[in-house]
Amino acid sequence: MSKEIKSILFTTFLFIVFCLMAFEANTFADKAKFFPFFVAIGAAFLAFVSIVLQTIEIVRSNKENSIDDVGEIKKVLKYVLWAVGYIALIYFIGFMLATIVFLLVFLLIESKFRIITTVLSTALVVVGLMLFGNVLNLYWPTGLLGISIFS
Amino acid sequence: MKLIFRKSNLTVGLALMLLVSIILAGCSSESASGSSDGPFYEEKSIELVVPFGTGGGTDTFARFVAPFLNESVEGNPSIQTVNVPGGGSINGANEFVFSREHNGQFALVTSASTHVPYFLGDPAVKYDLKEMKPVLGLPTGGVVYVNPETGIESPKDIQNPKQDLVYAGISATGLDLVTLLAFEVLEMDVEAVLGYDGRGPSRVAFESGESNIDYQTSTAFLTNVQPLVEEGKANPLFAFGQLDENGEVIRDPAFPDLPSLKEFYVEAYGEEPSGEAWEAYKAFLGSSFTVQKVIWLHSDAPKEAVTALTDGAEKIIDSSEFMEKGEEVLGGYTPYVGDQLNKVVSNMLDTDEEVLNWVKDYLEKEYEITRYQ
Amino acid sequence: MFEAAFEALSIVLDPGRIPFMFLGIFVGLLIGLLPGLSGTVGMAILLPFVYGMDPYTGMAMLIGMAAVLHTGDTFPSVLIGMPGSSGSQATIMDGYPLARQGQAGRALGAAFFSSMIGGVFGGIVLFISIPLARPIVLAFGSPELFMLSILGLSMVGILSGNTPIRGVLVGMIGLMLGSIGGAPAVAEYRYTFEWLYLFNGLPLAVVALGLFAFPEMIELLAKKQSISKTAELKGGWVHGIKDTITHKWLVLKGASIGALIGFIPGLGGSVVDWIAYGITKQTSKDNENFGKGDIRGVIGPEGANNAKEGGALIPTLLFSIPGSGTTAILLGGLSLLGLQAGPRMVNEDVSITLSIVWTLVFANIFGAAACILLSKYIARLSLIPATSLVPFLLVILTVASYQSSRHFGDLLLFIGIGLLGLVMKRLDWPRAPLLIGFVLSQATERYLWISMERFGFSWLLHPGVIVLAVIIVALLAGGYIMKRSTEKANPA
Repeated sequence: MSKEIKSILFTTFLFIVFCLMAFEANTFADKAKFFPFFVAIGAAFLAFVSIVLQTIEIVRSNKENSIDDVGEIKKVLKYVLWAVGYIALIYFIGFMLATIVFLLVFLLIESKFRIITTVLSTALVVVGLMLFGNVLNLYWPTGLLGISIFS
Repeated sequence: MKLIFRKSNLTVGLALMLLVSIILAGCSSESASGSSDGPFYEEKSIELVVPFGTGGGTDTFARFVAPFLNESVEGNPSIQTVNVPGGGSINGANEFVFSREHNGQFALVTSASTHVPYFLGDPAVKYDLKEMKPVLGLPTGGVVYVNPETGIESPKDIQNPKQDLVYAGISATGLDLVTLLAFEVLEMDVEAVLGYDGRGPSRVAFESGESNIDYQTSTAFLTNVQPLVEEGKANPLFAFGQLDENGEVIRDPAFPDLPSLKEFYVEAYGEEPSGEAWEAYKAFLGSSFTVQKVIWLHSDAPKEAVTALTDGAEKIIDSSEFMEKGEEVLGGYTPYVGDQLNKVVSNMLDTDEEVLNWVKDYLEKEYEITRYQ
Repeated sequence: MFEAAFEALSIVLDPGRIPFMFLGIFVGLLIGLLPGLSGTVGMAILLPFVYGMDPYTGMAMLIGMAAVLHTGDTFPSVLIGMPGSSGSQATIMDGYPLARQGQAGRALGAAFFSSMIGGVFGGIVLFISIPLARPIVLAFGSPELFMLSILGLSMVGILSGNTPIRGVLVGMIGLMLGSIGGAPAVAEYRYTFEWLYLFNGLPLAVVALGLFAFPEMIELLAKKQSISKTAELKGGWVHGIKDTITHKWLVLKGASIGALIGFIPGLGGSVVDWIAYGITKQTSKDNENFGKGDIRGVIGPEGANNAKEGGALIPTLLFSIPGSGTTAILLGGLSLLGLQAGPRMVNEDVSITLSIVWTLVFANIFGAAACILLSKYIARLSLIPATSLVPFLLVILTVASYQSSRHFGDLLLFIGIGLLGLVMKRLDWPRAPLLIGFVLSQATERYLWISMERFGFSWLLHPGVIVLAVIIVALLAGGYIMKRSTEKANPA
């Protein structure tokens, strides 16, 4: 799928979201409504115009469009999953534990660090976090399971 | 950054670790729980949960009180202020009730913006102020003033101003509610433009002529409006007053020369104010000004904790250092403690259901607010 | 006045106070350096120390922190393409492309040197404007503030290159995201679905981090690159300083914009650097390289964002209206020190105000100098391969996001906005307009509402409104004409 078509899909997605937001805005009290309602209507209209224009552009140019590198998209997805997984892990087991697990696994598998370097880096990060956390008075999530080591 | 450390400076890392372990060791011995026969707070800590962001009025109040609590509460607990902002303070107050242990080591600092949604029955409010035990309460006051061009000089003039009255406010459900109810009591015809960013911006709106009737809380009035009064650009009308222990409106101790709303009404109409608007005014005057900021414990906290904190609070307000240093933070008011506090707070909590319903209807009719229905 | 100024100088230089000023500077640099942490965190660290200090010492520490915050935050903006705090978002536009070309040192040098000059300039503006401040601030009523928000929003047109419809559309996403949470005019919560986290609106830091940092990290990993595409760094900080001297008028232009807009309460400081960037781009010759690594795109906004702090102190000290998030906390600090912002600050307490001016000047000079010295080492970060850098960054950013509301929603939002940003980046949609729309959403709605409610349509005829409208039209038309002349310019 070419970038141009994906752009149209994305614009369509925006169009739908704006329509929903306008619909939702309609339920607000008058004083809260005018701004989101008109902005959403305007944005939906603009998205619609943009879809039409982009379609015309594609039809008219009719040339071979750039095809995305499929391998790269797979990689992007993989790393998005890493990030999402990390956040999900935080939700369940709390920040500190999740960070330790994430760093150990990621550094070993993705960064191909040696074991000793991995462990040392992770330890340093944990120490650094605790140091900064204390000095800068930072907070982190404790997690669903309520495990709160190092907090 | 970390990588550079790792590669070039392993020794630094090791040294750091050593340092941290020393620090941690120090911390852990500090927080070890003490023996049971000493004072309750011996070697314990108290966390002051502030449901607002850093630097606001309530946060400043909490941070100001903290060192005095440390000094005066028996056992000298260490006091930490923790900000849990969000939801216009509802978030932090909910969290205090549901995810803080009820062991006397956590206290909540509320302000009018925590009290008002509770009374109006906001659906997001999960806390019950009746389930909390007040320890210290701080009153404040407010003064309503007009632009002299409105021609309002005495109470008699309020019905026939030379200009249409415009009031610049923040939100009908905040402190502005008391002002709006005061206009309602006085049967004044005021157009309220709500949506300003804070009391500062609304004062600037007054100065630049966007509005011509305004109020400021005591400290802000003294520093920012008093100069205008001296220049003849503002004309103070009345102070909101305070609720005494019997629920009557009395003069504001910070403005002994200004009439309270009650006296102002008597001068204007020759009779005492009465009716639903007046009852509503008194109710919200209590929760918004008379005890504007309150430090609470959970009501099921250990008895020893409640006694220790209550005694500590009483000691604090007796110290002259507290009142001296706190001139700006306290606005010249003496905090309520002990029995007096209990009375004032229970007055505030005993608000009549009918009065509240009247206020909800009023908010819907005049300001389109349907959230509390 | 000058006599008083020298008296204040001797107060500031008292050996007992200097260490506290440096403590403030140190904290400010550190907070700026860590991506996503804002001045709010810095103030929260310093506030407990303030208690019991004399006002001069306390203010020296707090102002020292606030002054250098937007100096240190340039590091993450340039090196990683993510905003270090709300102040240096626009620096990303050209600073990061420069870093990718291996010119991180040059970009940093230029940024810090313009920051230094801008900051000193802001201090001087603060000094000069003490007697003039009142009438100027009072000249900006709600209608004028609304027009200023529109001026900010019109930067969207300038920043979206030759895809104006997409730019405006993205700007509108920002406006809608900004309308989440409590409505300004009535007690009603919009698009919150009764989730308390959303009641206060989305935190700016999380939106900015998600939009820029998240996509950048993923892309770096996927392409297995380091930030700098070249293996060697060229053009050190000396080069950057020379650049700044060459474009000295640009620094002053940026600084004037920064001081002026910081001056006006109600707009929020976050949009200052975008306006400075837009105007710099719009008034420069041969501007087609902006967004791809033009050093002028670093110098303009960096000059502005430090000057802003000087300007923003005026409404804070005189009217107790905070001009930015940092100054909001400063007000709390003031009352802990037993002071109250108000007209007193230029009468009885003028020595405090003057000591603040001096602190601003010193802190800017020391802060920028320290950063320039550090930049040589920190610029090497851009050579580290992605797989060894990004996991650590992700941890830091997660912590930073969580500090915004200390609610798990921060992390969800970070990922959510991050995915949106990733899609936009991969499809070559401009992302900066979203941030501009988001920052200005509240102010636009608020002041439009107040203007209509208070004046009906007659506010359109206020002289200030007309002047601002002319400026906006001139800026946009100028952009259109320039675009016509360089028809086939590349997208931003």
